Amino acid sequence: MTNEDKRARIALAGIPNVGKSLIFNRLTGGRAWVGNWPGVTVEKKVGTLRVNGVEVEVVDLPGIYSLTAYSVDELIARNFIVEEKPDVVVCIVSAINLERGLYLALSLLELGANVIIDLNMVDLAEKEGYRINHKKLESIIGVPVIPTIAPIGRGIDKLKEAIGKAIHEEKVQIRIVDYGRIVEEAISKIEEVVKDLAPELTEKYPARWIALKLLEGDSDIIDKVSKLPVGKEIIDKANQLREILKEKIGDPESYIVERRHERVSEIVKTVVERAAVPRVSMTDLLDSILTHKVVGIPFALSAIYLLFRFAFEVSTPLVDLVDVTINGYLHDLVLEIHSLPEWFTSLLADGIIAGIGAILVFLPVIAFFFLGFAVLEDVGYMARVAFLVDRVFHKFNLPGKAVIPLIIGFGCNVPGVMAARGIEDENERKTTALIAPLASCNARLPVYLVIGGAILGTMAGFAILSLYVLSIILALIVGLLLRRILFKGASTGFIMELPPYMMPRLDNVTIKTWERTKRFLFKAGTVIFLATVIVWLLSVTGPGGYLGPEALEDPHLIRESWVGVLGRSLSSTIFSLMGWDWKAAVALFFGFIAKEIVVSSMAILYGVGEEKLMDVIAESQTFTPLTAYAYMAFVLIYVPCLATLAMIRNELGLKYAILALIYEILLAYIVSLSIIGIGSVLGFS
Amino acid sequence: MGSSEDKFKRYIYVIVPIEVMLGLAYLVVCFIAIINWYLGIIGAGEILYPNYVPGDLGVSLVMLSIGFLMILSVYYWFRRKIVKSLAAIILGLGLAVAAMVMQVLVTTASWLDSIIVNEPITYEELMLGFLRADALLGYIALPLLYVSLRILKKTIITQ
Repeated sequence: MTNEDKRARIALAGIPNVGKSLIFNRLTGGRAWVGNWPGVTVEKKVGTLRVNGVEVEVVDLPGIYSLTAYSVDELIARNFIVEEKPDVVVCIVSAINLERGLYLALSLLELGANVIIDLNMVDLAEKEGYRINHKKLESIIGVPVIPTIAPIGRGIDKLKEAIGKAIHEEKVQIRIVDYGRIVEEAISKIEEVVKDLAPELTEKYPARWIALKLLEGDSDIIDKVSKLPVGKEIIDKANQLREILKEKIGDPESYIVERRHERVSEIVKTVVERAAVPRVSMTDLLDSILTHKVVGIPFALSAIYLLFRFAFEVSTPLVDLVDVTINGYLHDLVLEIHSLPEWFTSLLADGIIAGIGAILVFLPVIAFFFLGFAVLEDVGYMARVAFLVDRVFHKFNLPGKAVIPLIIGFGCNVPGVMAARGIEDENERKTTALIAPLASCNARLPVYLVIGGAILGTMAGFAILSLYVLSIILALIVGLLLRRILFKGASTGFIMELPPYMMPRLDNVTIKTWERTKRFLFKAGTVIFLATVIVWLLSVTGPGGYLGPEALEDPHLIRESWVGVLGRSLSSTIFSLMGWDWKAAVALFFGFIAKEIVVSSMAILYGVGEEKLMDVIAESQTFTPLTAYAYMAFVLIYVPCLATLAMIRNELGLKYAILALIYEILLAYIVSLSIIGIGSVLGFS
Repeated sequence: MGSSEDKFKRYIYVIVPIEVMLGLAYLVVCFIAIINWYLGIIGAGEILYPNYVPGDLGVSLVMLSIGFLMILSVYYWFRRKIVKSLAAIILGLGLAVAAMVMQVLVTTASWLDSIIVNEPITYEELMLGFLRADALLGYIALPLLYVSLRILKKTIITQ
């Protein structure tokens, strides 16, 4: 023991968050006296420890990174070590932050402290995929190194044992850092001067350490030396050497710190042994593939395919349940009410119930789609999809984030437009909101299925798939044009945060699904309800007056209705080049209200239920395969439904809603006409 | 550390050959699904293994992705890119299980639907749905995924 006649004292030092408090509690049993360091309001914690029957005072130093004079905490720590001369300084080094901990340990050794290194958190280092050879570290720096895991108390007994041993041992001066010939010569010269002129100073501080601090220009040491009678001479000599060093190596302080860091790095390289098996987080592991620019793509496409399968196929029982209930049970029930006027029964059964029923059957599909989408979002995968397509989208001057509104748009365009809010740049946001309606939403699918199934037969599946691809291509091209013409500016970089993968939360998923699905329900209850009443009304009346519900079952009579008049004028003018008949033309007119109404209007106009509509269209020779495909493409592109337009007006203003209306009609017309023209040239009928 | 490394090595010796075989099986199913899709388009009538492999481009895409990931995991392993190799194993098996779950859900939905529309589905039809190639291979992938996640969480995954 260095101080035989007094109680032994040790200090705990370490950088913040190395588990110093836990080690303090493990050593002292948690019993501590808390006060302040003299002259400052920095907390000082003192406890006691018994080692080999000897009581030892344990002082918890403030969390520090080094021993400079720049911070109060560091000054407190070094002054305590110099003034109070603890018998041992336990430097707690985190095994997962070895470099910074070792830097402090070297600083303590240079200060002349009797150091023991507590290598804490060795378990975490092993989890990270490396281990530290503490024996090798011990031999390099010449002081005991004790591995510990403070939370479970592993290694604490060995630490106590090492403390007990170190208290009884004389400290040995070890030179670990070699600062190079030029600096070492300067250090030696100052050391000699200090030893000669102020031997009393070297009793407190190691001469080498004073020399180093003077070369570094440490204000606290300069101040202390200046107060000595011979101080000026020492400071002058140090300044003279500093000036010489400045010319040779630049700023001496930076050089000394750099050399210390280099030495620490060398030690770390020597003692850290990487495991053959690396340690990674689940997020990093999965992202190594999922965000890969090539390998990530097939996975993303597969995930989206499974999402659509979930939406369209798993929802089938609910679709049929809604169909059986509304279009079967409820429809028949209303028809059996004979006490009501015939026109009112027809309005209810053939208009409202048939129309809304044709739409509500898609409610389960949409709800399932949004449910699956919300799960992928909550898991954190949709952010990766955005990251993946970012490169492609950038070529079209669009941000990767634009993919989210487009994918949501495949379910329903209304929330698709709304989802563009997540894009920070205004020009990119406006562009994305305007192209989102080009995503082929679920409402278009019944049209594809009915027309494609009736006319294209085995090619229907391929034709429908091609429409989905066409919608993406058009969205990108229109996006590029809008960015070039209207919303100019460079595309912003990818600034979306990639959240860690996690299990989806039931409440989050439920709320997101409900918020998105209820818009569809609201649309069915308002816009589509009104539209079905209008279609019915225009179908049972005409220039000649009231035709009666019979018109819905008589193809000749319905030609004389307002719907017939409108359809014939559309097919003979605007759509004359397309070769579509008047019923198909007028269905498009009503489809402006909502795309789903194209099919329900056709069902009313052809005087059949939806289940027989395909057969009737196939037999009527209304379409050739070429005109049918052009019709499907027109339905894909032409005007977003009323609800989507209303959403664009809400989000961007009336001007942009009108722009969306006009550009989509023109684009639909050009694309459909091109399909017919090119197809005819290639010999398709 | 040593024991977890040993456990990891044993796992790799077992999983790599299985990944090769399973990956090749998925690629074969993908190939048949594309042929069946083409035969369907040209209206050739007979398709290959109609009860087990649908003529569906979407299914073939998923099968391709799974097979690709599984073979890729082996490729990365031999290139000593351990993290990527393990990621490909987990994602390949995960996608295989997702495809299986989806097929089971779809088959169950068809059965429920047949009850709703009063068109009873036969036991054989129902079983064929559960025994389709994507479901069958998924049943093999499920325990492998479970074991892989358990071992990797104990050996290399830190969270």
